[in-house]
Amino acid sequence: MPLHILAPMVVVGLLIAWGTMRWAGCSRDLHFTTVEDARLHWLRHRPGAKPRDIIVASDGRAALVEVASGLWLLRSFGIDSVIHHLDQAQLTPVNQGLTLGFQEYDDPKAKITLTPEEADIWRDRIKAHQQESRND
Amino acid sequence: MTDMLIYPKVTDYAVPFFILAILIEIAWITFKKRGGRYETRDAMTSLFMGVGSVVSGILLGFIAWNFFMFLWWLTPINLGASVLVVVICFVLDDLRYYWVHRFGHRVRWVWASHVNHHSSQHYNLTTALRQTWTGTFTLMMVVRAPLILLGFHPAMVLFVGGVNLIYQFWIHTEAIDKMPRWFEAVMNTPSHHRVHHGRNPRYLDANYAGVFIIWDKMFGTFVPEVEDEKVDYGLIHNIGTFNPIRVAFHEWVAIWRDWRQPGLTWKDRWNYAVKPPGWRHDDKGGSTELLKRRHVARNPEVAGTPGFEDYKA
Ligand SMILES: [Zn+2]
Ligand SMILES: [Zn+2]
Repeated sequence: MPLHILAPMVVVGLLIAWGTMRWAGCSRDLHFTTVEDARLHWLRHRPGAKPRDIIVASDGRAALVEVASGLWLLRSFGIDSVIHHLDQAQLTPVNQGLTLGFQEYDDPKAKITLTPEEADIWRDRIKAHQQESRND
Repeated sequence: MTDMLIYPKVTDYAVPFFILAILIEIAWITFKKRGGRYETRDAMTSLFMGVGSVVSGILLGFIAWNFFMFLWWLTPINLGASVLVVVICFVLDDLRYYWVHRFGHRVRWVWASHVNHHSSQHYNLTTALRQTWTGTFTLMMVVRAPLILLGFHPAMVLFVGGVNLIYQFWIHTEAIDKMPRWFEAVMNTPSHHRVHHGRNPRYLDANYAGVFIIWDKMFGTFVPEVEDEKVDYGLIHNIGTFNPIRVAFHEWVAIWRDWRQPGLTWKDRWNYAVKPPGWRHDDKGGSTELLKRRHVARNPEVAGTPGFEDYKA
């Protein structure tokens, strides 16, 4: 098929698909409504690692999860969630929370919205954990 | 006689049909409130991966094509282009697909390309179009060599490969539960392929089929969709990006970083490329076998059931 037909067809197709999904309400974000909710999401990723402690951010879009293997971030990713180990995370305070930088090319950074009080708690927890894992 | 064999580029002609089918699936899910899930960014990423895959074919396709034409020049056999020959070519190419796909999950170098097809936590028609950009680098075109040496023209081999991919489009859906029994027995179906996209220990490394599920049954990799275990889609380590560039290249970057660790031997580097995903030189790595073993240890009642036939409680 000639490119001057294929290319416009693809572009129009992408736009229609995008518009249809907006219309159908497919653009919502996942929110962890409770600690229990966050726990269930965590267990989907790591069925064998029972959380010892979970702190859910007040906007419901991220949680700190402590398990035997250390401290992890659980965050909303579209209407799904992803997890990331916090051993090596680079912390950068920003206006409305924290930015966490990671080594991995498939998950380079996460912006976490937190109140100033929450940001202090999160930073202390992550720093303390990183100190501990360096001492091990 | 068939040195200038021309077949339509079937995947191009399928584009309007793909778009229409996706719109119908979204509408179905929206009105019926069942049959799958769509998320805008996830689906758009899948669609961009599909577009990029076509572009990569235009840019890099000549490499495989020249290799195939070289083999065609070598071989003294020409089977012609009768309908029967095309049908036989289709079936044999589906066997070729089974093995390339199986390598795609068991050899990290090939997985680096194929992983992006599995990198969505969703399973809908857009997931079918989440195709690799880096297939050429896996060198898996060599698996097609026997077909051409046997006398199937390269254009025919590519044509049946395209038809194979188009067949696989419609099976990426949760809107269809099960097909008729005879169909499920012979053909790859939404149910069989949902299993293939599962990250549940039960469903790992199963159902590599393209069109005919019989290859999995022949080679011992078939796992049926189990009624009371819903498929959890995605990767064991799900990725945290919708950026198509990162989706396309993340495992290649990971291989590169593994290679650059200090103190590796060349054998370690070789193993990082050819061992199954998860392998590590320091024995700290995981494997699908380990995940299955741990799962059976936690849930002894599943030992011996589908996906755990070889595992004891
Ligand atoms: Zn696969
Ligand atoms: Zn698939």
